[in-house]
Amino acid sequence: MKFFQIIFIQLLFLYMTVIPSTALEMFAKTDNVKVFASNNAGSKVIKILKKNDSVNAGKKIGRFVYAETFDKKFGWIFEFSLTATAPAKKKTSDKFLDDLTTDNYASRDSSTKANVRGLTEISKQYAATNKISKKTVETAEKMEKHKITDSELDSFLKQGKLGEYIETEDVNKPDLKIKR
Amino acid sequence: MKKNLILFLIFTLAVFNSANSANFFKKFEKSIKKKLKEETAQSEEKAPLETSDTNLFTEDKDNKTVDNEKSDKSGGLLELGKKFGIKDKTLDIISSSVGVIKSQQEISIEEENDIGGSLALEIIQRYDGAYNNEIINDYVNLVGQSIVKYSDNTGLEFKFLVLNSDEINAFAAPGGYVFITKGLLRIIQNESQLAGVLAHEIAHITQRHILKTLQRGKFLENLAKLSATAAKKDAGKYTEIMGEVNKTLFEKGLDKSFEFEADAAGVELCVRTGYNPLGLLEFLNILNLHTGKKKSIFFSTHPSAADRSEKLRSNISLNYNSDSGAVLTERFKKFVNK
Repeated sequence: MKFFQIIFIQLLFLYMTVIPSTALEMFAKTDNVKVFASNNAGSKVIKILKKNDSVNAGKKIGRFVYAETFDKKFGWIFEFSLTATAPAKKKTSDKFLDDLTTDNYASRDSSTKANVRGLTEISKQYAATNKISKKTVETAEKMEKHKITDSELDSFLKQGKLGEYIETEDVNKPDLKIKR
Repeated sequence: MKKNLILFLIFTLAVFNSANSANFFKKFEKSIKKKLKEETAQSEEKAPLETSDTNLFTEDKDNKTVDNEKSDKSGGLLELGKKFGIKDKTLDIISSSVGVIKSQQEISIEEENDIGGSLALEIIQRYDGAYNNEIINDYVNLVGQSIVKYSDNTGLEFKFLVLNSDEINAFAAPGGYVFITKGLLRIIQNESQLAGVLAHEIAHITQRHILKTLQRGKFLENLAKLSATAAKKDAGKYTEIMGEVNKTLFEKGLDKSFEFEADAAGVELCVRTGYNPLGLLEFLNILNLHTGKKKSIFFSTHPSAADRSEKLRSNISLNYNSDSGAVLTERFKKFVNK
């Protein structure tokens, strides 16, 4: 009996100390992720995170998560601005399979090229060989180049009370009651 | 002291062994190349490998001695296997198996952009180009980007366009291309419904539904067609691939399960962004009433509205609060000028 008591006390100690203090490492999904002083977007912005910046995320109230940034600042971040998935590392090339034939999957290595806006050379080549009109190509190029700035998007979200701007008042306001 | 000495000895041995292995590898390589050169000097065929500074076990990108046509079918270690007497039939089996394995591997973001860009051109051409209204186009982009901001997007640049067609339809192409038609926009009543449609299309892209459908097709045909290299070398081959892509999008549609998955993921995205979860469900009901007996092309490539509505309704009632979230009718009307 005493043995079980000791085990129970140890587990209780573990539960009360170690587990709550275990924060989850999370990462900013995009640039311009705001860290607020309180769990609402009406409060002061302490810091702005860049894409893939890591934080240690703790308690959640409403749609905001209390977190510690990489530079030891504490504040609240909108939960859907963070992801638990670490930024993707560069994919190892398929060298073994490529060595069996001479197929060149060189494109797999140049992941940085994927972020350049504009139709790819292959799409342009496709247009040339498949009777796609010049006007269509211009329309597609224009679509590619259309860009919305962070501040425009922020303003749009704020105006519609969307994203982190859902909650712009005090801490104790009830959540949107997402049943999970 | 003893422990440190033992550790130091182990470390030294490890370094020594790896250096020796590298030397052994180079010697092995040189002897193989010498043998191959002797054999090909005797036969009528050209040597597949060139100078001594070419590494046998890496891709021979700029090999000038290789016959270009032959290099498409075999090369590398398979060619070496041929030299050692392995039958062509066996090598063909290995080569096509490799093709199958490769076809199951994920398509890279660059390849995704290639396919998506080509498909986007087809969509724009078939659906009368862009709707000439910058304000509406900007608005649709803002709604779309709001949703993308809170999605599990894996690095794609999303772009949105309103097409000039009066048909009621919406499309997603790999690489982040999302389209809705002018006709669809006319029957929508508020921003949460627009968000529902866009979120559904965004989910198709983030869940890679079109690419998965293509890869399944490749598996069944036992071919590894898709590659940027194939397109660069053979435009006809790439056009053939795009023919399959076009058929999937414009005629067959995606798997029913993918459509249901996109519905569920779309609702989740809407709720994350702060929209009312009923948006997409309301849109489906409007669409059903609007088209009535006349079947929309939308329905020919999607499961029935009744099935989708039933699943959506059930999902929403279980997981979300349908009284919460923004509907934004006024803002929608202000931008879309109703």
